[in-house]
Amino acid sequence: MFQVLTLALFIAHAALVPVSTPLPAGPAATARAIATMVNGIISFTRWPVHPDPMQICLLGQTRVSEPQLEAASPPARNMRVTRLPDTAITIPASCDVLYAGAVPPQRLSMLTSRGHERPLLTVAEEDALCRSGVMFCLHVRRSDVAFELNLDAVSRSGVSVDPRVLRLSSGTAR
Amino acid sequence: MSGGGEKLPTLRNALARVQFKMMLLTIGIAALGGLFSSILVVDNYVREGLRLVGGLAGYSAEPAIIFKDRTAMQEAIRPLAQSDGIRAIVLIAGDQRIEVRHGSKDRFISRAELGIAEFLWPRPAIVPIRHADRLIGEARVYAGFGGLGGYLIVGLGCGLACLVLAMSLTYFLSLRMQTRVAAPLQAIAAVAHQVRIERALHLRAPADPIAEIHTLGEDFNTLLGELEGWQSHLQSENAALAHRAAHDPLTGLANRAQFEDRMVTTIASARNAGIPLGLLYLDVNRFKGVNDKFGHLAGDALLIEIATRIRRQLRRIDLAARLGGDEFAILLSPPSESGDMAAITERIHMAMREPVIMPDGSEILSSLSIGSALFPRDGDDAARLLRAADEAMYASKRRIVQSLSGILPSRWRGI
Repeated sequence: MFQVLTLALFIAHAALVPVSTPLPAGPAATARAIATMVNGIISFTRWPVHPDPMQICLLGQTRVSEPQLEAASPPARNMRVTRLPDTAITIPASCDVLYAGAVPPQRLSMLTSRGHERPLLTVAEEDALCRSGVMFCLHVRRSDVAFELNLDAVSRSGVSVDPRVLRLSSGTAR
Repeated sequence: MSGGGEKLPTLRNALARVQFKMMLLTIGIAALGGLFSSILVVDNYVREGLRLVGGLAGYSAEPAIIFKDRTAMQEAIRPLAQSDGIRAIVLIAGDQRIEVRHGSKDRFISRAELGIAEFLWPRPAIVPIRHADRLIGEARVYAGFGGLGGYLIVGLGCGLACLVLAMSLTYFLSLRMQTRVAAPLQAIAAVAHQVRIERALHLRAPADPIAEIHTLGEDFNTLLGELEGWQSHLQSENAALAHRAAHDPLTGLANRAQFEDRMVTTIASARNAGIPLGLLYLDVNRFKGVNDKFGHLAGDALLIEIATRIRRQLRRIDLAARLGGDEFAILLSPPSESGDMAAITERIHMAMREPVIMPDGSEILSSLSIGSALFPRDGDDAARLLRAADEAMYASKRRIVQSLSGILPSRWRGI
């Protein structure tokens, strides 16, 4: 009963808004589009203290590679991309951004629900339902990349997302 | 007043015309200045507004540009383009170009407004869009008619209201000025006209609180006063001349010329009325002797005294005249019968019985020969009547000379 209620609240809080970026065909193009999307999300996110360098932590199998992410980032941003071991049971405190690839949702939920001592931006590549407690859930489709926003996760994350992104989301609700 | 053929404008008209021109000039200059400066201000505000809207459009569309969401870009700028002051907003980001135009185009007025706005502000305000210090695109904002239209409507309304106010105020002020300036001048002109038409030199222009008009009125009045003085002087001079022309200077009686004139007119009126009229002809007996013996001064004194005594016997309406030398004549005013003539003749003889005192204190006794004639019995015009009276007088003189010759008392000096 309690779980059902929580689930319902969770769904209600999650404004699952798809935002799309047109995508040329091919895995490399997809990766570039994902890198652009992730960098765009980062650029609209504010940490209480701007991280310098910014630590991007990759988890699991990702469609985008470390060099691709770094290539898409603006030159001014001092970005470091590291890959977490698949066996990690906590998110290291040094991470500023968690980018989860093909990770089972239960595991992702467990990781995000543990909390994090520093403000953390979370993006999931493979969470179609967006119930794993990450803030941005990407939808990689054949033609474009879109994202959904979990407002509940945004509010608990400790980082602030530019309201224009939220407004953009609600504005593009179809 | 006499003027040329065409009608000259009145002072009121001239004043009103000058005031109207001044008002038009003032309002025109003020309105041009106001219009020019306010157009500058409005233009400045419009451009500033365009830049602000461009900045806002860029800010709103920034995430959409980053995420390359065309629809979101459109949604971000659509509300901004609904403002009346905006004709169109164009977003350019990389290879993307989003254009949102303002409102509906089916109304004629809105098309006209668009035309005016395109004419006035053909170029857009171009605002760059930056994201994380990187140029990601630009917003181009084209001005609409809204800002200027509102200004035009409000400005024209205020301008018209002020124009009406200014015109009515000027009208009332000019009425006041016309009464203050034109009315006193017209009063002076009216006095001048009256003086010219009626020779009413006693009229004076009224006093006025305006210095120049006051001075004009004063000078005019002074001139009138001098004219009046001259005129009365001339009149008295004329009267003196007329008196001198009609009277004998020595005795003050009428002279021959006036006597004959009066005889002609009096006989004419007596003839019309059918009433009689008496004429007496008098001559001083032995006057030549008095002149020779006592001198001309004594003769003159005698004539003056005789004239005084004759006049004393007459009524005011009778006319006595000295015809020349020692001859006098009396025209009795009609109607006068022979009885009247006889009575007057007798009274004159009686009056002459008193001795006349000469300038040297001596006394002489003088007498008159008097002949009378009656109109129309003795003559029906002036000449005949005068001749008849003259003859009667000589007849009388002969009788006296005959009766007195040789028996004149020797103790009387003269005669």
